[in-house]
Amino acid sequence: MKNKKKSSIIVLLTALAVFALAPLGMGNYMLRVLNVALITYLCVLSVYVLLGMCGQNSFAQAGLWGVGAYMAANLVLRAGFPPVIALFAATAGTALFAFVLGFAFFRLRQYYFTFASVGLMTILNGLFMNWEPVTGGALGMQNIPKFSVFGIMLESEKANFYFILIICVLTFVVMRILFYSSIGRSFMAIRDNEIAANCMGVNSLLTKSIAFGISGALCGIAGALYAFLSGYLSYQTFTYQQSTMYLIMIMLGGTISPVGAIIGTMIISLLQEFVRPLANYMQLIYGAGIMILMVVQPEGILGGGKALYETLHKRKRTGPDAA
Amino acid sequence: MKKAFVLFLSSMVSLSLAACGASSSGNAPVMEDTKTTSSAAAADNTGSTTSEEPIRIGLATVLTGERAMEGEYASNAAKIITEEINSSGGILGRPIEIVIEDGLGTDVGAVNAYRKLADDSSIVAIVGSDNSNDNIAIANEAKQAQILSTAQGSSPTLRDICNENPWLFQLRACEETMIDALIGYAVEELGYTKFALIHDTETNSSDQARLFTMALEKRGIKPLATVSFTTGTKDFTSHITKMQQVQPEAIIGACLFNEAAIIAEQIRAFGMTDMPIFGSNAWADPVTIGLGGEALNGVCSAAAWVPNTTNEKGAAFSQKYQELYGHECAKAAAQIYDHVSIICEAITIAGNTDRAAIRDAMNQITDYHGAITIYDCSTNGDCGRGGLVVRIENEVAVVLQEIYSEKDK
Amino acid sequence: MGQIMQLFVSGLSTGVVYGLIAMGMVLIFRAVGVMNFAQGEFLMFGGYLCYTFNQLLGWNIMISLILASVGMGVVGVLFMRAAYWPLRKAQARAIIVSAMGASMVFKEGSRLIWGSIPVKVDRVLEAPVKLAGGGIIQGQYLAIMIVAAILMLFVYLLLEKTFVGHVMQATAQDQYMASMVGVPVIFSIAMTFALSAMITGIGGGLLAPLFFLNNTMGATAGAKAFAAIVIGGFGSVQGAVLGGLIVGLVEVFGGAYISTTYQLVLIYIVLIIVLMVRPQGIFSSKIQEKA
Repeated sequence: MKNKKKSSIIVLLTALAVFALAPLGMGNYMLRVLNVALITYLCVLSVYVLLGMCGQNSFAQAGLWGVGAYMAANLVLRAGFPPVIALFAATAGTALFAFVLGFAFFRLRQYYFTFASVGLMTILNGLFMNWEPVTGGALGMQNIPKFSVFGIMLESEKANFYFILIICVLTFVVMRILFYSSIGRSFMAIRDNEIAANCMGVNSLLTKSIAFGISGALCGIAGALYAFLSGYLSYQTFTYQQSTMYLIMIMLGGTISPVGAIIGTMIISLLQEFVRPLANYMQLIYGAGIMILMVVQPEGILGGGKALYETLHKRKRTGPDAA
Repeated sequence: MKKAFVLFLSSMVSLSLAACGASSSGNAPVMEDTKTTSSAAAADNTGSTTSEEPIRIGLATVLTGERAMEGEYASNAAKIITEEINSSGGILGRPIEIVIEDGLGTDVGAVNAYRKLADDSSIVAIVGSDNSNDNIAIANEAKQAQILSTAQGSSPTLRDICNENPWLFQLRACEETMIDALIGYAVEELGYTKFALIHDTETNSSDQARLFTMALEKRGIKPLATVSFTTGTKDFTSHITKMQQVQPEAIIGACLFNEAAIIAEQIRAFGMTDMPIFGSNAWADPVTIGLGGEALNGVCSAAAWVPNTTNEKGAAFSQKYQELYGHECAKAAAQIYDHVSIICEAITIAGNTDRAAIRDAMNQITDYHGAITIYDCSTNGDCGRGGLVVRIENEVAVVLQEIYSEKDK
Repeated sequence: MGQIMQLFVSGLSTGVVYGLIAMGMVLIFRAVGVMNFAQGEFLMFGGYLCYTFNQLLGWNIMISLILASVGMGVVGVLFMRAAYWPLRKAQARAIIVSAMGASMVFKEGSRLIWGSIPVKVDRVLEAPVKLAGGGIIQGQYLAIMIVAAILMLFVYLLLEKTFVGHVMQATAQDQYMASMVGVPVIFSIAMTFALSAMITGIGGGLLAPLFFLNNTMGATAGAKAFAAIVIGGFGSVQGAVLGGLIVGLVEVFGGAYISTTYQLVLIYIVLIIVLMVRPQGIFSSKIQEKA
C-alpha cells in the first residue's frame, strides 16, 4: 500500500510538472482555452462524483455552475466582499443550495431524478436570463474584477492558469481522499445496488444529498473562478447544452475515476480548437464521433485502457485478478 | 502501467498544447476562399503593383448553433466585399483577406474566437458579431489586445461601453434615433395614442423595448400593457389576450425574425386583421416576410436595412447579393459589408497597417457613406447615424422615410 | 368568458402538438426503456423532409406529408441501427449519450443541407374556424387535432388489436423472453422506432406552417414533450397525449394569469411538483419494475 501511494504521488508530481511547463511559449488564446478547460474539468468532476461514484445522472450541473458564478459576482460587485471570501462563500452557497435541493429531488428514483434535474436546469437558465436585479437579466453582469488575494491581483492569463491549476490539483486530491473514505464507499454502494446499501445501513436520501452537495461545491468553485477569469457573465454560458457536454466529457474519459474527467475534458476542449479550420463541420463530426465512441467503447477511454490492461495481464496471471 | 499511461497522456496533452499555442501566433487557419483573392490580384493589371502579402481582417461570427444564420450572411457578404476591394486594386496596393472564426454562439466561444484572431499578429482589425452579449464579452479583450474591433450590437449599454473603450467601435445604425423616428411617425403623423408592447426578453429586444417606451414617454404616452416572452415561444395566445384586454390602437413589437412572423400571423388569426403594428428592425427583414407572408402587410418598422433600400450603395450591394446567392440580402450581410469597408477606409487614411494607427484613423472618419447609412466615428459608440422607416406592402418592405441625425458633439 | 375559451382552445391546440411528439417518445421508451434524446430532432427532420417535397419540389402538401412520414420511417430504422442497437446491452447512459450525438448529427446535417435561414411549409387547412364559445382556432390546429386523433387511434389499434402490435408489446416488456418464444426482436424494435419517427415526423410537417422550421427547433420541442411524458405518465400513449394537453394548458393559462416571461419555467415547476407528488405520472405504466 505504501509503495502504491508513493508511486501515485511521483506520477502526480511529474504530471503536474509537465502541465506546469505547458504555458511557456503559449499565446493568450491558448491559455484562455486551457483555463476554461480546467474550470470545465471541475464541473465534469462534479458529474464524476454524482455519476461515477454515486450513480446518479444530473443535467443541472451547468446551472449550479451558474449559481456559483453569479453568487461570486454579486458578492464582489454588489456587496463589496474581497474575492477570496466570495470564492469560499460561492462554493459553500452552491453546495448548500444543492444539498437542500437534494433532499427534495432524491426521493425520486434514478431516472426521475434525472428528469427533475433537467427541470432544474431550465428553471435556473430562465432565472439567469430574466431575473434582472440579481443576474443582470439578458445583458448579464460585467466588469467583474480579476481574482486577487493578499493584495496581489491575478492580471495575466498565465497567473490565472497557475492559480486554477493549483485549485484543480487540490480538488483532485480531495476526490481521491473521498474515494477512499467511508462516505465515498457509501456513494459507491448506492451506485452498485441501492437497496442492498439501504440494508447495510446507508441512508439513501442523506448520502445522495451529500453527493449532490459535494458536486454543488465543485460547480461553485468552478463558477467563481470563471466569474473572476472572464469578467463577464451571461445566460448564454449556463445552458442545458453545456450540461450535456459535461456528460459527454466524462463518458469519453471514463466514469470510473477523476482521471477520466481530466482526459475527457482535455480531449474535447482541445479538439474544439484544433478542428477550427473545419468550423462548419465541427459539430457534425463531433456528434458522429460521440456515436462511434459509444459503440466502440461505452466505458470511455479509461474503461478501454483498463480492459486492455487486464487482457494483457491475464496472460501473466492465473486465478482471480486482485485489481 | 495505468500510471505510466496517465503520465504519457498528460505529457502528450501539454506538448500538443504548446505546439498549438506556438503555431497559433504564426499562420491562423483561413476559412476564406483564397481563390477569389489570387484571381482578383491576377485580374488587376492596371497601375498599382499589388504585393502578394494580403491585409488580413478578422471576422468573429457565429457559424454553428442557434444563430448560425448570421454567420451564413456574414460569410457571403465577406466574399462579396473582398472581391470588390481586391478587384479595384486592394488597399494600400495589397489585397485584403478576411479570416473567419466561429464563436459557437456562447460567450466563451466568442472570446476564444476573438483571441485566436487577436493573437495572430498579421490580423489588423476584427469585426465582431451581431449579438450584444458577444460584443460585451470581447470588450475587455479588445482593450487588452489593443486591436481595432467593431461591434454590431445595438444596445445602449454597448454604446456606453464603446465610448469608454478606445478600441471598440459600435458601427451600427443608431437604434435610439430610429425607434424615435418610428414612434414619431406613429404618434405625430398617424395619430395613435394607445399602444400595447410585446417584446422578447433577450438582450437586443429588451433594449429595443426600453427605447420604444422612452420614445413614447417623450411624447407623453405610456404603453397600456407590456408583455414579454422568452425566445423560442411559439404560441402567443396569452400574450395577445393580455394586449387585447387594454384595447390598444396599435401594437408595438420588439423581437427576432421567427417570433415576429409568428406573432403577426397569430394577431391576424385572432381577427385583428387591421391592427397596425410597429415593429423593431427584425420585422422588416426579408426572412420575417418570407415566413409570415401576408400577415406582415401593413407593418411599419424602423429598419437599418431592407433589400429595397433607397441608399444607392446599398441597393447595388443588395442586387449583387441576390444574384450571387439566390436569396434576399439581409441586414446581417449589409453590416459586414459596411464594417469591412469602413475598416479599409481607416487603413487607407492611416497609410499603414499598424494596429494603433488604424484605430486613430477610425476616429477621423466622420462622414462615411456606407450601404446602410452614414457613419460618424468621432466617438466610438453609436457610429451609424441613420436608417429607414419602412412599411410592408404586398410582402415587400417599402421605404417611407430616410432617417438621419447628427451626433451630439 | 370568450377569452378563457380562447386560451383553452389555444392550450389544447399546442397541447395536442406536444402530445404527438410525446407519443413518439413514449413508444421508444416502452420498447427499449431509455428516453430518446433525439426525439425533437425527428420533429425537425420530418418537417424539413416535408419542406423538401412541398416547397422545393412543389408537390401537394398531403402527398408531401405522406412521403415525409415514409422517409422518417426509414430514418427511424437507421437511427435505431446506428444509435441504439449496438448499445442495447450497454448501460442506459451510453444510449443517452449516443442519442445526443445523433441529435447533433441531425441538427448540423440539416443546417448543411437546408441552410440556417428559417423556412415554412404550406398549410393543410387554411382558414381559421370560429367556435361557438367565442374562440377562434386556426385551421391548421384543427388539422393537427384531427391527425393526432387518427394517429392515436391507429397506434392504439395497432398495439392492442393486431399481431404485430402484440409482438411489439412483448418485446417491450421483456426482450429476452420475447426472443425465447421466437419473436424477431430486432425487427420488432425497428418497427417501433420507425413508427415513432413517422408519427413525430408528420407532426413536424404539420407544425411547420405555424411555427416555421429551423435546424435548432428540436431542442425546445423535445423538452416540452419530455415534460409532457413525465406529467402524463411514462408507460402509456394515452398518458403521453394527456400530459401534452396539460403542458399546453399550463403554458397558456400560466402565461395569461401568472407571467408570460416565465412560461417555460412554470411548466418545469409543474413537472417537478408532479415528480414530487406522483412520480409515475397520471397514467402509470401497466408494467412496473420490481425492486
